[in-house]
Amino acid sequence: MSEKQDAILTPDELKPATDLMNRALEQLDRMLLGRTELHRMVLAGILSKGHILLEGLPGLGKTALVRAIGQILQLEFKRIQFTPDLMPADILGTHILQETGPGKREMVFEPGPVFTNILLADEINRASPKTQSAMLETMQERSVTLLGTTRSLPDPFFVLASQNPIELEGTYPLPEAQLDRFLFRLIVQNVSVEVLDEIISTRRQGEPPAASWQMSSEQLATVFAVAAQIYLPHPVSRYVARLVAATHPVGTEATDQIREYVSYGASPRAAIAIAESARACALMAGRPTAGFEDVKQVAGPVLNHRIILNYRARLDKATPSQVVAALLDTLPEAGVDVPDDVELREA
Amino acid sequence: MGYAEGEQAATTLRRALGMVRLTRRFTMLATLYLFVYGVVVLLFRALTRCPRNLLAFGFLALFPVAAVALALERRKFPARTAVKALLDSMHRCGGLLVAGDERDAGAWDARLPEFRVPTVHWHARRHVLALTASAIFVVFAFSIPRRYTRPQSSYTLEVDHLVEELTEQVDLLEEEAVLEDTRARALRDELDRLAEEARGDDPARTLEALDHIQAVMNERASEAAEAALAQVEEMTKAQALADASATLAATGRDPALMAAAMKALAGLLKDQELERMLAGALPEGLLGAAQAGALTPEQLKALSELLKQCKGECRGCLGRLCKARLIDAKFLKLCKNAGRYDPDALAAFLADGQAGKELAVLLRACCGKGGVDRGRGDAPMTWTEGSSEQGAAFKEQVLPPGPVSGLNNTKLVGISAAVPKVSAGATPVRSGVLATGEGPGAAHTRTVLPRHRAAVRRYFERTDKEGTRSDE
Repeated sequence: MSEKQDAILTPDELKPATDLMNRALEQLDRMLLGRTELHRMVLAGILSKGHILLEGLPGLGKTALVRAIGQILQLEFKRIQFTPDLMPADILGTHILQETGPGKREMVFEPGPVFTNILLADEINRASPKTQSAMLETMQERSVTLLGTTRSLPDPFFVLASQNPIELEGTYPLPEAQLDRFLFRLIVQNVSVEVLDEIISTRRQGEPPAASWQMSSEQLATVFAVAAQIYLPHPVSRYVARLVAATHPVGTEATDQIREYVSYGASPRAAIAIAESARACALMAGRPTAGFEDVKQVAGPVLNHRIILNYRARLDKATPSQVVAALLDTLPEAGVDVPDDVELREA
Repeated sequence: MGYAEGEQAATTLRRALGMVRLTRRFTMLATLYLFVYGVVVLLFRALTRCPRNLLAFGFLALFPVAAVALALERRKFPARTAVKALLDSMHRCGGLLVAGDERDAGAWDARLPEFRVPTVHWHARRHVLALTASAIFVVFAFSIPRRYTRPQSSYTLEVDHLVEELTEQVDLLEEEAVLEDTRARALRDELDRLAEEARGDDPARTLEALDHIQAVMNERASEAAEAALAQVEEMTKAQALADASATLAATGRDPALMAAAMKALAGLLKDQELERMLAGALPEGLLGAAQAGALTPEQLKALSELLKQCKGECRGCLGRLCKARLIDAKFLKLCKNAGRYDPDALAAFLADGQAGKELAVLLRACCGKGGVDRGRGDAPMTWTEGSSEQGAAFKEQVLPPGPVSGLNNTKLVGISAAVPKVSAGATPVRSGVLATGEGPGAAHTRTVLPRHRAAVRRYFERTDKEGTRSDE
């Protein structure tokens, strides 16, 4: 038993899960063109059982992406269009007085759209703070509590929210507590001319083709089980901890830029998110251990919505992504104190 | 490939990193130390008279500096796990290499990449420049003249070379027993004190003191030189008497004269100074016999040789004093003549009594002064060292034929009172060495003045009483 615990996954144990995830990624790439890296990160987020905030202009395919994922993974998918007059009950559900028998009436809970596997919260920043706060428990506890009764959400449960970065009039910026609950904030970019050309020439009305392969629930459970066994070595976990600590201006390893631009650094939840998503990336890469490159790959999406910049950064037009990228370039992964004038060159 | 290779690569990289870090740290500390050392050297040279070779021992402190660098870097020596993590990151192993330390990852051994140990490059230009600058600063601190290390208001008077010269003179005088040990030590201490207290703003005081010491030593050296000269003179006389006595003893012709010579020699050797000096050089029996006037011919010869050696020692002492410039030019000249036999002085010494006079005559006869312009012609010449012919050989040269051969075939034509007529175009005969110079045959051109003509005529017309006459 202990020997089993001490061994990392063998190639034979890992390969089926990796193949499944690569196949899912291949399906996504086939359905939605030109965004392989975004698809990889979304799948990594799902493998990590985290919620993802997609940020991008309208019409870039955010909804189509969520729909495609639901289709491939054979998960229930629901969409909520957030508006200022949306109420918490519209999301969570409510109790309705119903006639259950002759002369007998009873308050019956009518579940809201949140009771699903994949919830697309479209334009989440348009809802009022009251409605947004209704999402906090669902995202963190994966349950809904109404009138003293807590109801668990289906497993798995993911929130894939989207927000428009330009139409800020009539919007309510997400509070930091809610932002912190998102595993990733992914920026959905425009596609290239070649991809656009392919889209309009091969697809009528831009409709993506149906998935030619779908992952069964058993397969998905297998993938989750294997992902849970991906090992995070101590030097890598140490690097994650140092990285998150370095985002704080008072941190011992904080860079000059961090001290100058950052008001508040990332929370411990960010370290957990990096560790989990690095494991997912390692699984997708076919490795039983999370490495430094996995951490670097996920650190940007994990940290860029958790770092709060000060006014000086705004004046200098510095973005969180730039600050995180600079930190990743500066902080040595292995913790070996190599002086500035000493350089390691690959032989 | 595999974990074993990764371990080996990590060990190699760790060692290389450690060495580079140690070298870097030592360079930094050595730079810092050398700058501080240079400042300390400057301060010491400005404030004390600590000699440079003593200050140079500070270079030995570079060894402790190296030890400090080692101690500092030992604490920061990269851990093996960290170096493996570095290798893992550089080779993009995805945590497999580092996981091998924590979990059983043998199944992935073949999946590990080939590990190449990265090279450690140290951009040392800045450090090396700083180290070089600090080393140059130390050299500068050592080589700058002392006068520049003192503040302008109280800089030291540069009297080191004077003090050094005087110290050498003191040592010489002590060595030649001119100065007593205690006196020499006192003089040396005084010289050190003067060098220590020599101040640029009051140079007269120091220089006067040094002049005084110089004068004292010159006086002592002059006294010693005079004494040595006198002893040399005495020994010269004694040697001459010993030689004469030996000659007389060998011939055995005049016992009275021999006795007088012995007596005179004994009188000379009884001189206290000479006796003191010879006491160490001569065997006790020989000196006693000499003072008693009872020396055998062999003892006389031995005495002569020993006196000659003692004279040499005295002259050597005088030479060293001259060389050290402790005695002046007058003594220098006397020193050159010291030990040369002076028969007049000896004759004056032996002048009292008939025997003394005869002995003086004998000595004059025995010993000449030598040379071509001194002494009598019948005096034996004293040959010392033969002249070297090296570089003095005459250059052989064939001279042109002289005019004599040309006159062999001449014939008297007549005697004229007037200047001989020389036909136009005739060239005077020139030959011999005159042909190369200005003289163009003087007989043809010399003009006989009218007042001399009668004398010339009479000469040619005279009848030689011995029967010879002019050709006419």
